Amino acid sequence: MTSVPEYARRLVAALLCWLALVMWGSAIVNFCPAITDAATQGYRAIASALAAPAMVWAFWVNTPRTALVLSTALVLCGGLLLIIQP
Amino acid sequence: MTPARRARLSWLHRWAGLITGWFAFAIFLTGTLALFDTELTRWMQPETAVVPANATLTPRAMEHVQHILLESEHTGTSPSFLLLPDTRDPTLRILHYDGHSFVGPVLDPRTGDIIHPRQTEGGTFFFTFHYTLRIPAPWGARVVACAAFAFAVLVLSGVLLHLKRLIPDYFTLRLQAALPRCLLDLHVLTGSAMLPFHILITWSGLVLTAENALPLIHFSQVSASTQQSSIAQAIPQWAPRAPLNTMLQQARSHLGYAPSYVTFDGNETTFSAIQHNSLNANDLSAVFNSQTGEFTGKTTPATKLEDAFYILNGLHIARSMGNLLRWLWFCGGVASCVMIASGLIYYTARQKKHSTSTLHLAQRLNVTLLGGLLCACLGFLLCNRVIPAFWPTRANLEVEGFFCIWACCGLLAIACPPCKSWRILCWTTGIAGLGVPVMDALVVPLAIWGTALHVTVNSLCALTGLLCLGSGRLLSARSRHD
Repeated sequence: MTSVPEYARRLVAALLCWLALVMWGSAIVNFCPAITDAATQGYRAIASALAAPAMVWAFWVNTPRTALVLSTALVLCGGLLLIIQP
Repeated sequence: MTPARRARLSWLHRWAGLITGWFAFAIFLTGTLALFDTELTRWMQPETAVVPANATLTPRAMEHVQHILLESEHTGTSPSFLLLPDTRDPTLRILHYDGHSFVGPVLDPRTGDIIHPRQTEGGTFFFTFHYTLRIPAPWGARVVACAAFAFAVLVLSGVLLHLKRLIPDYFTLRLQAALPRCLLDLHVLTGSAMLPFHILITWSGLVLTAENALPLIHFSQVSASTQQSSIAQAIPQWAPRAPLNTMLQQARSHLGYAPSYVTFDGNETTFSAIQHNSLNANDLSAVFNSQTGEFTGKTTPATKLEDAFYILNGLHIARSMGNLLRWLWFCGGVASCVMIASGLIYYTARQKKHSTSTLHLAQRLNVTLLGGLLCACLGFLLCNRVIPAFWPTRANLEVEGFFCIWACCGLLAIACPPCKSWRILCWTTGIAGLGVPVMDALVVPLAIWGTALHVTVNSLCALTGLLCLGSGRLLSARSRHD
């Protein structure tokens, strides 16, 4: 039987996946200011398609730790990309 | 799939469904009705039926429109826009935003005479409710965006849970079985049979709400400065001085389509044409100088990426698609509503023997937010016929009527046990549904009552009413049997 704290951790991981999409998307859009409009539309269409699989993935993996660690890493990388943009 | 993984996905599907299912039902039901928002507005304004479906726009009417626009500018009204007659609505409308909704005179396109229809939000009420839930901006749109996200998760987790039985589920519906089994069959059948529609509408909805659901993080101050400059550039003079009719004729030849609407922005008059019978929501526009009437340009052709984006929008808002596809979308929307409702009721029916506070709350919320909303929607249409046509602020009264009926359903759910409140609600909704055509017959002239528009709306309301009465009888029989 899966415990409630485990579900809570997976839920946090799912929300982190969403945050990672926002971070990466913003970073990519900011990196190509010449095509901001097209990049924004492209990012939103792709991120909308990826959002559900990414959030369900957090409940698919065997351990909540894997989900948490990977999603946190993705958020941090996205944040780093966003900060180091020119 | 391992049992542990299945249990996790099941938990996600159950709780995401319980928390956002009620929002999703409201969004889907009003969205389904909003597919025919223009037609509903016409039904709710029977006075506009004096304009025949094939009425042509005359230069005289356009001159009258121009006169009204200039008067509006002098009185300091916010910039208006024109809705030109088309196949869905043959009237000519001059609308402006009054802070709550779009209001303005309705004209006969043949003569330019003002028609004076009853004040109503019409189908726009359902359209606005669909993407804001009538919650003040920006929170309504944000709640809808969150619900869209959760619904996407629900669809995917549901598909993964039923993946093995996806094909057999197409052919399984045991109506004589116990209630939970019957509900589950209905939930899975409507879910799997219309799966492409669910995926398409959820994805396109997510893209449309992406501004709220997937915000862009900027570290620069670009947006603030842009906003300031746009305020500084605001021009108080917006009504066109050049003859509107001449510009309209030129716009027709430049666009190759009959323009559907006209907007006025500073010194520019823009004629836009909806590409009817297509999935592309990109409207073609011709721009003219408002003072001289000189043609200044056309919108540049969209790139392939932009076109893909517009098609995705067009697939969701269904504004430019033909009637057949619109009805198919309507059926898809109804299937989505049945899927959500049966899923939510299944949760409470399955756990009937384990009485918990969550179950009690879910049962009452089901009565209020599923049955109550349907009853309120029919009540909204009834209010339109019951409130006298020239009653001041009747548009607000209709909306208040809608929320009062919904609140009464909530009170009923609190006051009575769920089984009893479901039965009462089924009978009430049934009577309301059957009452719509009756009230329509009493209020509008017989010639209008027999038109295709009125027959369709009335028949659908009567059908909903009959289904609700049938459900009420079924519930009574089941409770006697139990």
